[in-house]
Amino acid sequence: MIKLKNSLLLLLATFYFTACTVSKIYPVAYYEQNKETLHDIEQLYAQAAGKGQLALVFADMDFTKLSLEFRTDTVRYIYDFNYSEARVNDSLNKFGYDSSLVQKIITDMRTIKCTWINTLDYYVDGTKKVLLFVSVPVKQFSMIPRFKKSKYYLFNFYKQPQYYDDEGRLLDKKKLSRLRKVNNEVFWRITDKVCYTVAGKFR
Amino acid sequence: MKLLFLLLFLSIFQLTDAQNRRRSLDTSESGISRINAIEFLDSIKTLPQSSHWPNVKPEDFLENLKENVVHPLKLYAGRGTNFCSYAAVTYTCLKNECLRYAKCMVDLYKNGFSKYRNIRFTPTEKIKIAAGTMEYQGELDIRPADQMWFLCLAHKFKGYLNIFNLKYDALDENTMWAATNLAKFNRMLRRLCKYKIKSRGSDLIRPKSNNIIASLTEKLSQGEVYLYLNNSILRKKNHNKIEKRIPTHYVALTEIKEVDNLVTLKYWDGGYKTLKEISLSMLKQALYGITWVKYKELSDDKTEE
Repeated sequence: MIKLKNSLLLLLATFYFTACTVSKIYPVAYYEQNKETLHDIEQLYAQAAGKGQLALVFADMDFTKLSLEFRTDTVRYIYDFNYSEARVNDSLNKFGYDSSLVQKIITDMRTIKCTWINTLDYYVDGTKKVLLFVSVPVKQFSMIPRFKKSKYYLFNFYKQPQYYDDEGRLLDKKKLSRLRKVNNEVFWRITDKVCYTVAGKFR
Repeated sequence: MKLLFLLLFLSIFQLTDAQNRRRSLDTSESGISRINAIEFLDSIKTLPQSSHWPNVKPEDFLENLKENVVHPLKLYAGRGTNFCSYAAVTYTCLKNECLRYAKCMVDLYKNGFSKYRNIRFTPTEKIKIAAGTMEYQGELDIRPADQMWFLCLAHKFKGYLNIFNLKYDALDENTMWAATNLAKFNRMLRRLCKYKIKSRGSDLIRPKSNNIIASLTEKLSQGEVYLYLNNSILRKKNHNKIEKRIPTHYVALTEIKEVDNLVTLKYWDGGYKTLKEISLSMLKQALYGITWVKYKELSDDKTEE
């Protein structure tokens, strides 16, 4: 009886730990698989956003509820749409964005199942720099879908090559002995300019 | 009898007139305070490096203060910190009493301690060393004065959420050390704000109101309104089916209106004013606390500048 109880506990523990872990291989594989589209998005975003700040988010896993965040110097406007609504283009035009470029990004996001695109600012020696932040929900199996905790591959696209340690962790340029954290997460190398992590939040 | 009516009419007219004068005086008072604060900061040409704050350069400190005084809405609480409540209470300081804020900060930099109204800031050595070193928090990285101020507020005010982490250690700005429950928020605001404050709601149970929009609009017309919100409803950060039903975020409401059951909410939450359209039911779900300030009622603390 005790043996049975122990093996059951062991089985449960194994299930628990494996269920909560996402392999490091998958984000790299995802990147390799969707490399072209991801870099297309990076270029399109740079063209479309220009000096403005635009964030795109799909609020549901069916990729139909689109939310756009337009940032001016002091105001952030957040609007929710159905992705096919005509109002999307009206809003983009109103804020001075090229709607055809942004629509291409939205289509690409749906194709590669990408949830969130935004730019983040960071500072090196007091100088402001910007990186592109892309989040992709991880496909997960769950015995009870209602209790499933979402996980995301988070990718950072830098304009310049970055420093990494021997284990491939992103380092701070100022103090190379220290890890750089973005959104309180440590990131791992894919290429010199692209790194990833897996997190429980997409932004 | 006619004379009595005439007297009554005259007294009502005078009261209304006095009230209007009082309101315009309030607005110009904050304007004067801002101008005085700019003049005060301009009069300080240079500051010597403070031995109390080794990682805060005087020129960066002064630039940060000037930026806060001239552009108070750009005050930023950081990307991953628990500083949103401190940023929200600073909204009232920068809106109404810029000069007091500027003087308090300069004293804090020079002496390592200072006073704002009857609040005495005496930060620990660890806090003094940490200020100016925060990283990966967006614009907060280059705003050392804001780091000092937020750390001092978090050190000074404690609530039940902080009982397991009362002393600051490096990177505690992201932990429960800096967390704020509604009672602590109200206490901070009560002691920092020039005016009397009132509050409804709690950390777990949402306030009930038959007409929340009208109620908030009315409060807003009389002063400042702060909301305690479940931010995961307002701005989703994951797609979990079961969401935590707890409030996590403080904002200063600046405008609210409702058209066809769709609420347009405009609020300030550090760095930006945010305009967001949500349904009325979502707003009711997200809203846990309302704290408001009436410009007509001054706080009991009559400390002069």
